[in-house]
Amino acid sequence: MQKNVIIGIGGTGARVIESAIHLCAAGLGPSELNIIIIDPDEANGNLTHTKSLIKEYVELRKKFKNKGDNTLFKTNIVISPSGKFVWNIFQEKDSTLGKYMNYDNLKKNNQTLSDFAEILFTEKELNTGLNEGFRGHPSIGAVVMADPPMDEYPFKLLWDDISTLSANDLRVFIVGSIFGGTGAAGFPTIGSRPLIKFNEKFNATLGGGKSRVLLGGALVLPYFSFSTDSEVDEPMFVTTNDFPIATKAALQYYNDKELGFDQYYFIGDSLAQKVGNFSTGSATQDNYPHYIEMVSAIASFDFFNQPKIDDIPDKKYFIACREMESVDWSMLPLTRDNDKLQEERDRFKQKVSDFTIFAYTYLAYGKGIIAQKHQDVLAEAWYSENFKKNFKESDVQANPRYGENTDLFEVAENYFKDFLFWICSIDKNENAHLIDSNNLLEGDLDIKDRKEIKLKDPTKFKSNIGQIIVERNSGLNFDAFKTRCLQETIIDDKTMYAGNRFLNIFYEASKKFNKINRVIK
Amino acid sequence: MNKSPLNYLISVAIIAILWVVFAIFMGDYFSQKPNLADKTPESFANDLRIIFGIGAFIAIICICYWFYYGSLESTASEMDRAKRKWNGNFIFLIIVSVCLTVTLIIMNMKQGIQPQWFCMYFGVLSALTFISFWITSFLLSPLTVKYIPLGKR
Repeated sequence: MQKNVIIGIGGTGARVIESAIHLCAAGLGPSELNIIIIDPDEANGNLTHTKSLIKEYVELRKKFKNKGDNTLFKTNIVISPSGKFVWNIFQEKDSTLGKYMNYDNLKKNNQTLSDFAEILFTEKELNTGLNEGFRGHPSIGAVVMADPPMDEYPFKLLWDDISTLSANDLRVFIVGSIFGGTGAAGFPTIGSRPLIKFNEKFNATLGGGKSRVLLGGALVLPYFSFSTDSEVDEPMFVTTNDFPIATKAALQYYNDKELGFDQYYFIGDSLAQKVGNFSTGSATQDNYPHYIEMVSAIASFDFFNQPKIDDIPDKKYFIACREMESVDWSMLPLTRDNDKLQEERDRFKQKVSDFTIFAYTYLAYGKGIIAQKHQDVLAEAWYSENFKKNFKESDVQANPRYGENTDLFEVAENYFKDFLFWICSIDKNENAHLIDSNNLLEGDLDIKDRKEIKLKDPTKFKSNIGQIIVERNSGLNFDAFKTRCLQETIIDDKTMYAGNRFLNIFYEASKKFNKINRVIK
Repeated sequence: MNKSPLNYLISVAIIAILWVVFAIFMGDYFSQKPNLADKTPESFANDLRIIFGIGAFIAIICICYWFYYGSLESTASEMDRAKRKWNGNFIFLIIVSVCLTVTLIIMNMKQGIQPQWFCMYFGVLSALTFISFWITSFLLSPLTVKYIPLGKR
């Protein structure tokens, strides 16, 4: 038995988890994934989005039933039973480092310690509000994250059922950026040897250098930039100019410290594409997804999927880099196993492509069918073949517009919009060539309103669907999707609700479409 | 059954068989029973065979066109147009059967044939044209337009 836990620290950690969830939806994740997020900035836009995305995934997975062998939503995403999967660090609003350390009391009662604090921290660092993060000052974060409440959720999630696990079976993957504040501070503190890897209180350690925990970490190096307003009126903040020096300092520090990590992944991108405007934190810190976050999520899957290790694991370091300015399907670092690399790349491309076409065709076409009355869409052969026989208006198994089916479509629609926003944002970074969002989107993406994503009507832009996935293709159009894929898909599983059949029909059709549209080299 | 060329062949066969039944096997009945002023029954039977044949031929063209149109991928995105096309073909064949009956009436005005016989010829022409079209398209239309014919929607 193996337990997988991913811990995302800070804004980047939350965004990597966003990518991981989308990849799980496409069927690429492990069978079970426990999620913990650490971020002091409770209102952070990236965090808020990831939190709602996790809830959407869990809800959709509950309502959605898979047909046969497809692996959609196969990953059981587990959050703490209390529902609290984010550790916000501070209990109260307007926290400062000074308040956290009881600096005022210290000054009165222990002059030596207060003098020591003054040597370590400037007055600004002691008095700046931290509810929007550590503003690129990991030294502050390291203090307040040094002693996380391991016996409370969400950390307790790590230790539930620990006694049933053998050596290295609790696979914990920590991910965060090391060029900012929260991630850089959290990575060495949460990854320190006694906290998780060799935690004695919760029986993680097995003695003799062995542990139940296999600890992996993705150090996300600088990969993005943002526009900075010259009139920013903030007491402490970092700009992209600070990233290289902050990264170097963090790496040197981690190198000196003996951390608990068994395996490290170093992930970054020198292109530094813009992902939005400057923000110290809070709701305004909501950035466009980036392919590096997807690569970091892939790294976590590689970590979880590695073979069982019975002995003390060897230290391993993984690094991947682009061979060219641009990134396409054939360049993604998907596995540590070179022999399986091509196979994994094909699988990855297939799953992500299938889900993209699935989400697009459902939102741009299928949703419109559901919005019409049963009688009005009977001319559509694929619909009649699947839903005409034994149709009953008030039967959830026969009528996709009835009862629980409407809830399913509502949740699915929300999730699919998020997925398409995510995959299109990756394309927005000009150097990633996985999908061509111009063939899918009507207008531009707006980070402020992800749910308002506007899609091209496939019945008007018929040829676009065959060009969405960037690869050599046969240029099939939407008519081919309907005639060769949708019409050829009949799902007659009596145990399924009609809404589930409806969605599965679109997924199976999307799979067929990508298969016949792809030019085999 | 709704795959090409099987649907074409079956449809042509059905209409051809109907023509053989009405024009050959029942041809004598249709030409000998009515009172004819100066035309021989053989000559009148010949007229009937030609008129029925024209109706059957037009019906075959319509059904073949419908199958061809229904098998085009582009049809999948134009269900409303497909409905209009089917309705158009169907009404056209009704008009054809009416016109051919009128032609028969005009050709044989001087023969003094009782009106009920022309009703019967109209029935035969209906069977050979729009009814054949409806039956064959109902049973054998390509999947894309399978649910377009009357009674399937």
